Amino acid sequence: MKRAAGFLRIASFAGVALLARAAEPEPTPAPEPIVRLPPMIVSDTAGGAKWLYASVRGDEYLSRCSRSTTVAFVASWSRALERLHAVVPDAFLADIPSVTVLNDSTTKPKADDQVAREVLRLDNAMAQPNSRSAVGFLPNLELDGRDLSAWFAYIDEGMSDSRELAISPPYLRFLLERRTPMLPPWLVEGLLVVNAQVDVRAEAVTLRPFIWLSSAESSAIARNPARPRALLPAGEMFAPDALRAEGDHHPQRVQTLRTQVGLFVRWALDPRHQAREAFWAFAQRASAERVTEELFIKNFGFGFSDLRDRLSDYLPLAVKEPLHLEPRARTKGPRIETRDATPAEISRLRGTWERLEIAHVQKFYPEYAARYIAQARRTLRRPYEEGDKDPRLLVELGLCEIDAGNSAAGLPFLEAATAAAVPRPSAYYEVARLRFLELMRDQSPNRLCSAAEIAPVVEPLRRAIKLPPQLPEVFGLLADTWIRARESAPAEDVEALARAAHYFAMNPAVSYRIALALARSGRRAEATELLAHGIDYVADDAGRIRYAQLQAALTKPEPAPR
Amino acid sequence: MTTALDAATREQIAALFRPFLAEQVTLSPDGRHVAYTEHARGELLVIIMKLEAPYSKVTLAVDDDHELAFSKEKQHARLRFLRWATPNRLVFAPAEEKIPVKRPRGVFGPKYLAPILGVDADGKNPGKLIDGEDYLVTVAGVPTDLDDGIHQYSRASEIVGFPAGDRDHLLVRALGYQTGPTMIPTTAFKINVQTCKKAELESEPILGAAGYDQQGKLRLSYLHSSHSPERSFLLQGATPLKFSESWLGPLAGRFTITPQNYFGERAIPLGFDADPNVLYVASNVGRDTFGVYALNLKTRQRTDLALEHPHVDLAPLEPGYPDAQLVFDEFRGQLAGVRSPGPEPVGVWHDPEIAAAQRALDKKFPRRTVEILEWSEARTAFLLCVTGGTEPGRYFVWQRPENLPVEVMRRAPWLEVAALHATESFAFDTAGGQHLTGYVTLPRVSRLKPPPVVLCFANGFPATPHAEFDREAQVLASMGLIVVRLNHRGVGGFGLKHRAGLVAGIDRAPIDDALATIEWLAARQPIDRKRIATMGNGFGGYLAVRALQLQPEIFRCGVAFDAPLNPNLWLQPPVDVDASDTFDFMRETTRLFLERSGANLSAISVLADLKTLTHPVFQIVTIAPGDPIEIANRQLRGHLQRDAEGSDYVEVNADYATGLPEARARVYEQLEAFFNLNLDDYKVKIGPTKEIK
Repeated sequence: MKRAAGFLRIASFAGVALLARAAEPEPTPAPEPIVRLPPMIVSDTAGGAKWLYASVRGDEYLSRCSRSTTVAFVASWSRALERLHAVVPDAFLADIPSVTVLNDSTTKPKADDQVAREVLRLDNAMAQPNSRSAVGFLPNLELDGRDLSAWFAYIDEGMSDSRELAISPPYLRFLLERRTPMLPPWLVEGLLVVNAQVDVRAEAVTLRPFIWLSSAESSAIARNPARPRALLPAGEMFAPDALRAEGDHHPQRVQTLRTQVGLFVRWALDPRHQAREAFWAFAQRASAERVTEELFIKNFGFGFSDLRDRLSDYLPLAVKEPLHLEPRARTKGPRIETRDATPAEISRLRGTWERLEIAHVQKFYPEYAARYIAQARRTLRRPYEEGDKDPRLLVELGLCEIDAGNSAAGLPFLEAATAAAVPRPSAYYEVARLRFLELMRDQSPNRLCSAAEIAPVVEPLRRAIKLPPQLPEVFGLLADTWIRARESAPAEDVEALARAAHYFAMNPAVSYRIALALARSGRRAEATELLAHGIDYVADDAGRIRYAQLQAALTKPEPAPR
Repeated sequence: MTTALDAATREQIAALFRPFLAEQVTLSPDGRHVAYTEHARGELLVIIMKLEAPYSKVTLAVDDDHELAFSKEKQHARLRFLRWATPNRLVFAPAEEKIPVKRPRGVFGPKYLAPILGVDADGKNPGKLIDGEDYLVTVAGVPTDLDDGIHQYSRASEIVGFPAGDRDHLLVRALGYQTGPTMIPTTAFKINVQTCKKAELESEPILGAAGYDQQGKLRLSYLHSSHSPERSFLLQGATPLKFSESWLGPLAGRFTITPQNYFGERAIPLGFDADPNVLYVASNVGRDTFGVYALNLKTRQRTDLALEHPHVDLAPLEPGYPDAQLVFDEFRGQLAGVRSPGPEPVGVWHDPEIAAAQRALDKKFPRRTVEILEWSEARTAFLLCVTGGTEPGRYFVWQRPENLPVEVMRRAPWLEVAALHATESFAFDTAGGQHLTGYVTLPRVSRLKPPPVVLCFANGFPATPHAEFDREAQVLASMGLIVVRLNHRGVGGFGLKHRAGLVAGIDRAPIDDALATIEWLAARQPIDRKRIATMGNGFGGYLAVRALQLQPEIFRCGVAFDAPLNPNLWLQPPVDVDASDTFDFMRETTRLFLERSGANLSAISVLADLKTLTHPVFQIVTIAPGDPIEIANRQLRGHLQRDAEGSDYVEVNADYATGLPEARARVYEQLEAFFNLNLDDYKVKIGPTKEIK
């Protein structure tokens, strides 16, 4: 295989981490400087090893490693997910399929490539931060799409047996943040903190002793449980605006908040407190409504001040002892079968990766963008031109053109894919978005459309709503469309918007629009509730004023029916 | 009728009654150090903690715990003063100790151990500022060779505080008194806290309490002679004030205290501002609760200041000098606000910045009481005590720039919050319009479902409001009881109307309040209506037993500690062989107040109609031969032994009232047996406790 530009972003090295089994726990490594490099282009396969294909629970793997290494990787990844589920129930994670492209590390970029050499140097530095380190790093990059995530990783064939994969914080954040109803930020941060403590070397799922602010501070509290310590009041811990007001940005406060939410999650998971069920029930409610002390009491039986006290009293124990989570009934790992990948699969999956690279490169290295677009197009078009009309391929072709800025070329692919009922909500969304733009082109901003005019927009949105994952932009566009309509939205769409009010209250990009559409549909109470909840998550003053104005308008009596 | 308490229960009681950490605590003016008290191994310690480096503490051994008569346990030593004079100099003083048997030769009066000490924040430069021998006085005109060669008089002392704008000095006064025809003067001292040099300021004979202005000048006398039925105030200085002057408006003439107005409308001088012309007074004239106001003695006008609370008295009935309610920002020389007396102080702030801080802090600790104790000179650090719910108390330093409350220490770190029984405050209005408040403590586990209830009347007379965290309530809840502590009519601190509500029926009104509370509780919480006990201390103990007489169908048994079962006997003057003309002001005031209802105090005696008392009573009585309370309790004991099976009588010493753990454990052991017998079905063997689902 010819490698065109084997570049990895050092920030993502911690993405999928290979961790050795032995050796003592290592304190959290100091943050390394981030060197941003354009991602890998996987060039053509001529002359390289053959590609293997595997599919497990809807996730697809394309591997140029040996069969045993591929199976070991997939099995290890499955165990990592199982450990994750011992900390975070499935219901709190977005169900988003992934594509993983694995490469043998011997095919790394040549050393005469300046950027590649830089990658390798960083790779080595990360792999051996010091002589006691038990942590190895798998060079990899993960890129997220709307309804799909993709990985690219190098595997060292010689090091596969005794290593365990761990879920990277960015990937877990992606899974948590894309879950619907949306999880409140404190919960996302708390789960990230706790998951980072999972000791992958332990047999049972075990959290290492908690790190409170720093290793030194944690040791000091472990030695002296009466050591003074600052914890935020629980009300502030749950408040979306805890760090927003002037005077609330002090680094000590910021760091305390971020660590404290992790302490709360750990406390809740600790079987000694018998609070796990209450915690997840509370988390469920907190993702759909504003957290109040009453809500907390209803779930836990005590109030915010008691919670702060209990966390403070728990801290000396948390920093001192590992926490063995009750092992769940171990599922028998999934059956992993590999086979030779078909040319269509190779092109589609590689093309998917390359298509996702486009947005990344456009954002960070625009000077390389044209190369990446060309590469993705080449990879995806090859099977298409050979007659492959797999709707999954069509979606990638369409999205590739849109990412390349050529929407007109992309739309037919997407329309064909949606006509074939492809299970990708982003395809339906893009079709609807492009039709909406077309409908609104050169129109006065106040122009209202007829139901017939907006039908081509609404129809794909309705289909997208029925597919996982639920995309906020789908509901945002549905709201925009009905805001611009002369007629009232039908019950089906109003119900969808009402559902979205619960899903996306914490997303200021869509909550206002959904509230406005609900209000126009006569669902004032739900709109008011959404605004009251959503305003907490609006960061800027101007935005909050807009929310407040709409709230005020909604408190006025409804006009009498004519 | 006893059951052996298991070791765990004894341990729990010992833990509950162990003296709190940081019974006193203070923040340095720069906000960098906290000093607090701790009891360890029979000693009272003062600990100085540097907040930036809390691992390095300075520990000062201050005093040993004291022997207590008839007890193996020792009384815990206490401090009477703990304050930072400067960012680096701490001043503290153990409680004054009076040793009558160690009277020095040639000295009239007991020996006083009354050291006041100073130390630097790092524990260096310790020094004794003053001690009991410095208060010895030779009175001019009195021969020094009288009797057994007496030539000096000893005096007790009181710490006034730091003079306004001068934290290098401490004001202390030696308290005068009258012995025979001789008037021993009250003397003020000013002591340099760094060098320990003393200066005597002024010396005057005063009969009563003395109030000083913030420059250390004696300005106010609170005269309460044991021969007079009146108490009055005398204001001295460049701008003397007759409290009858007309410019005082409705307050004119309301400063004289008599048995008739003691529990009614009146005014009390509290203390002086940094401006010596401004006198702060408390008054409930024309209103329900005591508010705090200011008089400018120079301009002869009342100022605009009015610190009031709709439900809480901001001043005690009995004034104290120096006043504990006025809170000054000593760095700015301004009144910051007022702190109400009682176990749960309410801060009413005059200073808008402190008021804003209080609001912000109240929000941070919902369902808790946040008491701002002190703040740093720059107001960047606030020392707080946060109590309530299950929490006995935690101290915080709120770092304002970081907006972070740093938990500095817990009052009782040995108590696990999750193991304590949850306590909630309650408030409701009865059908008769009475606003009642109190606390309910729910047992974590109970043998019976629904659990039985013990209703606790407030202690003493005038009754003290219940505190939010109560050790005894925790013990009772551990026995599986729902503990209701009621601030019924007659309890002090909640205004005139609430206090005077007792007049509607000395026994009837509080018991009606108890019945209303049970109804209110039963509407919200499953309770065993057939198993309700009463409990009380002092006059509350009387009510606990009286309730069994008046409502035997509601209350099944009662617990009374030192209950004045016969109010008439209780309020009788003691047999006076010498026929002196002394006047017991408080006894007469209490009698007059109780008789205002038209009640015949003999008729409402528990002992007046003993045949109506058929439910068992657990009597706890302090051994005090000849005391009317003990006499009445012995009389009741005889009746109960015959007619109320299951009763018990326990004699205790001062160690029980002091709250020493062993003494408490002994009584609670018997009390648990009493409840087992009288609240649980004694025919059923008591099994292991079950959790309430």
